[in-house]
Amino acid sequence: MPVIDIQGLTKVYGAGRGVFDLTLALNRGDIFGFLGPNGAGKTTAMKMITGLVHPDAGKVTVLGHDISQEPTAALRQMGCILETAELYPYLTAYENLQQVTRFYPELPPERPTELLELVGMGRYAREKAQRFSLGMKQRVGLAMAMVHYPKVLILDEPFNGLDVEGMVLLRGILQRLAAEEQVTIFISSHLIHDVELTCNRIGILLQGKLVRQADTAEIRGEYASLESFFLSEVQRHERL
Amino acid sequence: MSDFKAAYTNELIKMQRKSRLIAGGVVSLVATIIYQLIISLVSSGMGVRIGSGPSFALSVLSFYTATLLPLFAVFVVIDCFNGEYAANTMKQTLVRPLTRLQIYGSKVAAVGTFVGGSLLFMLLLSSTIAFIASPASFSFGGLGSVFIAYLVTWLPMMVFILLVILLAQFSSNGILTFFCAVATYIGLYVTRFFAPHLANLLVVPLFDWYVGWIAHNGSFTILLRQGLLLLSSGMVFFALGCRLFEGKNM
Repeated sequence: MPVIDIQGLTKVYGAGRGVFDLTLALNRGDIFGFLGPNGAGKTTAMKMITGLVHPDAGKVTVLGHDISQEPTAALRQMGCILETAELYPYLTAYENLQQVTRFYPELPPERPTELLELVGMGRYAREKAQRFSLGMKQRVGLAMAMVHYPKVLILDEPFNGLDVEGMVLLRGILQRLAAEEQVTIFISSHLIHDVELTCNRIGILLQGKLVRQADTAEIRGEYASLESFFLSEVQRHERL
Repeated sequence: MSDFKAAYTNELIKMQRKSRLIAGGVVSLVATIIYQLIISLVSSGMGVRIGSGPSFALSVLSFYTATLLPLFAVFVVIDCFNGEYAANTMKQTLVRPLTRLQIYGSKVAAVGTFVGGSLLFMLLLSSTIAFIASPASFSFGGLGSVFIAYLVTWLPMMVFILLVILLAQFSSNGILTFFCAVATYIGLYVTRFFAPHLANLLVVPLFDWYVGWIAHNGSFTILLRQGLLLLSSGMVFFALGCRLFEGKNM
């Protein structure tokens, strides 16, 4: 059974924008990269997967739980960053993590500190988030998404604002989670190089439609880089 | 239930961390002291005693529920809803393992706690100031009436706040919600002069509902009818607000 099962997901906004009939299945340990130009519908699709946007049609099932029928059961096993990692500015980094850990009383009390150390924010645990840079917020956001040992991670532009060291660190964490803990990771990003280095499957979304999906290894066999693959898919789609 | 408790605790912590709450307490304290000073000056100047002991605590309640408390509560509602929409932090709450009903309920419960806490704070503050100013005029019976007055005022105040929370669902703009809340408050207040027979349905005129509770000749039937009207209005506002909140796309 797929961990994330998306069937015919559709959401139409004004001017014909949106997501159309998206069908996709992700298995345990997959790191799926969602690529597409601005306005292609990546964020809308991710918001529908997390229940933030109600679809016009279609269904999303996460670990067997329909997100619209059993949101609590589905969301309990998910960690997310959507668009940007917005923190509560008047809370410290540690308190921001506590906003998540309160829903998981079984977590050890040292877990927030452990995660902040992991993402390189241990030193700033007691500092209010209002003074953080975009990259620092992104790191704390990642810690919030991972603090409860989720089985599914939905990360919209997770590399945004991160410095090189942060990108390498994040890539390492995600690959370890997928390989060792079989976490299923769904990433959307416009940073094609990072997607190429991180993901083992790629999907291309153009004008709200999933036009192609393939394994990264397969793409590397056919094209010089993921960028070439992406551009060729865009051109092919435009010709059609 | 544990998830609801976690969400409620989160809301209270967010509320407590904002400096606005402390500012509200300070403004209430200063306003009450100024109010007592004015009353003392008027009393000594006119040779009459106005508002000493329990009657001072009740006049503070009347002043506080007509002015500062609705204002502070509207700010808290805007912080809880519009502020979170604008800052994009509402998404953080919505991706927690909760239904939208639980999220809405936890926010309403937190605002209700704020209203209750504010009334308790003013009860203690006004009673203390009144006791210091005029210890001889205090009695346990009088203190009991004051306690009942502050306790029952929570209900009409909460119903008005549920109406403001409903208004907050129509826009993510906090300023718009603020002006809508003020206009609604004034509208409900003024309407009772043109349509006195509708006063029980207008919520705001019932902010002094406590008067019936502590009056010696208060009718239980009227109080019960008004209480049921308030409860039903509150339930309608809650249900409508929750319906809009559930249907929102973030």
